[in-house]
Amino acid sequence: MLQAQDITAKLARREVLHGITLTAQPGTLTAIVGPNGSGKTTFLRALTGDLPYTGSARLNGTEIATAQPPDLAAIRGVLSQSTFLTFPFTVLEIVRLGLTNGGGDARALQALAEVGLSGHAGRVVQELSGGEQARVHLARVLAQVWEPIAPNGDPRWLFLDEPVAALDIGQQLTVMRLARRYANAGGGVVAVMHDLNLSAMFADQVALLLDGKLLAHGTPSEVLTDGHLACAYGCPLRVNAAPAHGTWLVPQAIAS
Amino acid sequence: MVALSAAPPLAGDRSARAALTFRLLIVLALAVGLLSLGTGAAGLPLFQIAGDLFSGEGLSARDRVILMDIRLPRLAMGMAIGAALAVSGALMQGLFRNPLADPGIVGVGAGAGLGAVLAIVLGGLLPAGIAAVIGAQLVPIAAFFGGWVSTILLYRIATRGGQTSVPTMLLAGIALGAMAGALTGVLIYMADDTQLRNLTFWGMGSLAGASWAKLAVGLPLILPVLLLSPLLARGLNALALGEAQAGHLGIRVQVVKRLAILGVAAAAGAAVAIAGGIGFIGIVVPHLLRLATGPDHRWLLPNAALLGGSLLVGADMIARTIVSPAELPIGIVTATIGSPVFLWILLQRRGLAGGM
Repeated sequence: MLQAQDITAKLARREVLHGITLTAQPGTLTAIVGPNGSGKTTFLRALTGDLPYTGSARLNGTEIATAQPPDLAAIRGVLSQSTFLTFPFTVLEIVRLGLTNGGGDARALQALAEVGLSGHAGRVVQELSGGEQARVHLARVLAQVWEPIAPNGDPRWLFLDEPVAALDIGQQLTVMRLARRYANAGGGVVAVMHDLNLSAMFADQVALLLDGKLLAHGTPSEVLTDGHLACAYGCPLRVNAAPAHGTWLVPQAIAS
Repeated sequence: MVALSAAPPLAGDRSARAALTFRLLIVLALAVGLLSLGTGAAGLPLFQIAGDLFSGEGLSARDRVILMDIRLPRLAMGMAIGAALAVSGALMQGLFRNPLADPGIVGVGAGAGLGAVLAIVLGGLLPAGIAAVIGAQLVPIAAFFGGWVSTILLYRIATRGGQTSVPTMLLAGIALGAMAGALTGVLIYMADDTQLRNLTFWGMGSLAGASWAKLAVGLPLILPVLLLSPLLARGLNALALGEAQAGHLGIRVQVVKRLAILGVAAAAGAAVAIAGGIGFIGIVVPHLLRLATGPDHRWLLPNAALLGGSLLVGADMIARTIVSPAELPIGIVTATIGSPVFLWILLQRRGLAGGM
């Protein structure tokens, strides 16, 4: 379980997160949404131990701020918003970096197949398109926490910072389905999302941030309401039901 | 039919090629080493040495001195210093995630130089007791600390909030280098004639005057770095993704950074202390190896040691034969070969998105 209790964090001496409390269960997908500058990425960085915080953030019972990097690496993978490489590694070499929990080349190739890059193992990463590079790093993270349940029975976690930002709509669905399967298999997924539709379609829990505070959290239908979204995004939005799929779709901008 | 025992290579896997390169570089180092033993102003070609040894007569006293006291220590020193420069270059480039980082360019060499000059000029002021204990080790130890302090200063200046800014690092390196140069100038101004002579010979960058005694001083600093640096390879590979990402992969980033800085200061500091300013080995060697076998530090570091050593011994052979019986400072040779390669790297990278 991921338990964030009263998380406060600073960037350049300015407090940008003001006491966020949120719990995420293994086996679920949590989408962190909110307008630009609302603190989504900052909150994720606190949860991955990259940013000092006050309050308490526990992953499977371990306080993240004081945990050792190897212990955290055994139970969670983190996909950063962007990764800039200067050295000419091949795709396979980058995915191999993720094999910190074993698995060997077979797992690296499985992970590449999972993100649709099977034929690209021999390519140099910088020569790929932006979307392909993003998927290479997703494959690396997947290879790290391949089994959603660790050998000791603890759930593993995926922390994804805008995993679909660089992708076309087909790839977006591929990646979200992959995250969904990971959660269905018992792992936990926490993803910073810009796309409210995808969040509504795939998330079990949505956390809506505004100005470093948790404005609302709960199921997509509880959180993604006209009122919440108008308040968070500063413009009138309408949420339409898509009963055929049993999901909520298309928060729609109203021409005013 | 001959059965092919090896499995088909995995696409994107360059470790077999890197392993083959490692073996070829061992052969190269042995070949260059033998060639170097048979090359010199005094004649005494290799076949004569071999003939004398195998004829059972042994070497003449003169030849023994040439071989054992001049050429062999010089060969060993060239190998050790070339390896130290190439490995510290590779470590620094991995640390800064930049193929142009080099102890010489970012001012570490200047810091080590300042330490060495301090020791040469002011070493006499040390209390006799301390001087007796440290003795001949004073110059390399001072160079080590000079290199260490300037590496740490540079890292602190260029790093803010866990992010190391490469342009800041390069500019700060120039500033630190200039500062060290100014202090060195003051010391040279203060120096007496004997010290000036020592300083001049030291500053030209040369393997001349190689001796087992000098080697005994430098090797304890260089050898551990050469042997232990591959332990940092996994961390440096992960660091190529960025510090945060390396941490996510379970790397203790601060430990890797500190050890790499310590290694650079020790190896580059000792190399500068013994042989003066020898440039470009630290940039050219890792770059060529990355082109050939990729940036995996598990292979890059040992291969850089072998190629760096061979290249410096080769350059030294040119330095001591091209104007024979006089000899060219080796720094001139490496700069002549190295600076065009450096420019070539820059021009190549100009096309890359994101540049430096």
